[in-house]
Amino acid sequence: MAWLSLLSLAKVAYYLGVVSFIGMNAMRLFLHHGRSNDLTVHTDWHKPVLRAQWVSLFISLVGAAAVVPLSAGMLLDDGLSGVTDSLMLQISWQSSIGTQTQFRLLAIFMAMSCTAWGSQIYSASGTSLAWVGCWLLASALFAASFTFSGHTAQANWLAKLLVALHVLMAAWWLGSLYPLIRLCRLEDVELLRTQLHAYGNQAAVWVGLLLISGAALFALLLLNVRTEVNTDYLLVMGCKLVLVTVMLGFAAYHKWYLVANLTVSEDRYKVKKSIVSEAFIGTLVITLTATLTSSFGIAH
Amino acid sequence: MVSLKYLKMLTAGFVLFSGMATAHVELYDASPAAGGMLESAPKELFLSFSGDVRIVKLKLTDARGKGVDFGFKPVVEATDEMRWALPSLAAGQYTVQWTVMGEDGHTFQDSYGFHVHGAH
Repeated sequence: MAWLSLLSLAKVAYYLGVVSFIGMNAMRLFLHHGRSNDLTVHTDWHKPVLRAQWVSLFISLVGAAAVVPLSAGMLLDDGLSGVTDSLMLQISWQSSIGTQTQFRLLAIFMAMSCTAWGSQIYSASGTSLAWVGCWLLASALFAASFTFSGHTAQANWLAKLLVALHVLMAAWWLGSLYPLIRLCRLEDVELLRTQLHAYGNQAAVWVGLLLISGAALFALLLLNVRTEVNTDYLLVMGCKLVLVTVMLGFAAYHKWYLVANLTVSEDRYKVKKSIVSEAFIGTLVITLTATLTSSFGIAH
Repeated sequence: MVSLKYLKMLTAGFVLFSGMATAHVELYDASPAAGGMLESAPKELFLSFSGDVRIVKLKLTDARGKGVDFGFKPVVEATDEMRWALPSLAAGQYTVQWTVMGEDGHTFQDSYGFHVHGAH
């Protein structure tokens, strides 16, 4: 049980980097192409977001690197000796877990390079097509890394595509929340409302894709698994779906009530508080996801 | 005409979705077989799985829980069949406990028993 908990923790650490890189950079592109020319936004927004991105990527690196030794420890299940057991490490490394780890480390290093490059060009031009290409490629690597193990490891291309799409959309959503929280410091309430309104319109598309891909994946798993569905798996999946529903409720509340009624400066704090709550629930969702993929299998 | 269009879409959906085939690894065949009642002690232990696996733990224990040493070592290469020569087994109940890692990275474990009526 302890090994499974540690593995779940390592996965959550990895997910943090994925979410921050994809979502925070998506927000950067969104704001760059937005109408905001307020330098205060960029000054107050860019540095803390970049710092959060770097911290998340380093945590992600530790999480990704920890999976192989933790898997080895779990295989031997004999205290900490399995973590350094050469045979168990070899087995883990040569399995799909090792392949996935290599992919993830590559994605993280690419993301770090992209982040370093981005911070250099940000003050000059904001972004460039080449940087956007780098961001997209690193994001694709992150998304693809989720298809190497678990239920979709031996599935067809459709399932893998759905997983990749689901990961990209979830990362976009969760990763955009911290930049949004920072954006609430914008003193120009009219500009803030415009930006949040535009974000909400975009979010409807991405979240829609997230829900469709998630529902399709769940249907695929239930329809095709040849052994009995594990009750614990369904219970944890049910909790995840409840939390996602709560997040959707917050999103709807933001879009149709808080943002629409954003008229005075004090309203910013209500919006910020609500987004913080949404982000907290989002963290619970990715924790449950890590638990689902580590501790439970449909037929375990 | 509208219903035929939806039927075609539904069929295409099933064809696309049917490739998922998420089959978790199972013990397909074993010798001695699960629940086997043997007249004489087996000479080898044979396990066959439904897919390629890496076997990381394999224990053969007698009725008292004492382990039988047959030189098992974890296997790095994935394979679906494996066999080990067994030493002379005394009459009695035995349990085979196995732990494998499937190609999807998940770990599975299970056990089964067999009974030996007479020794070599």
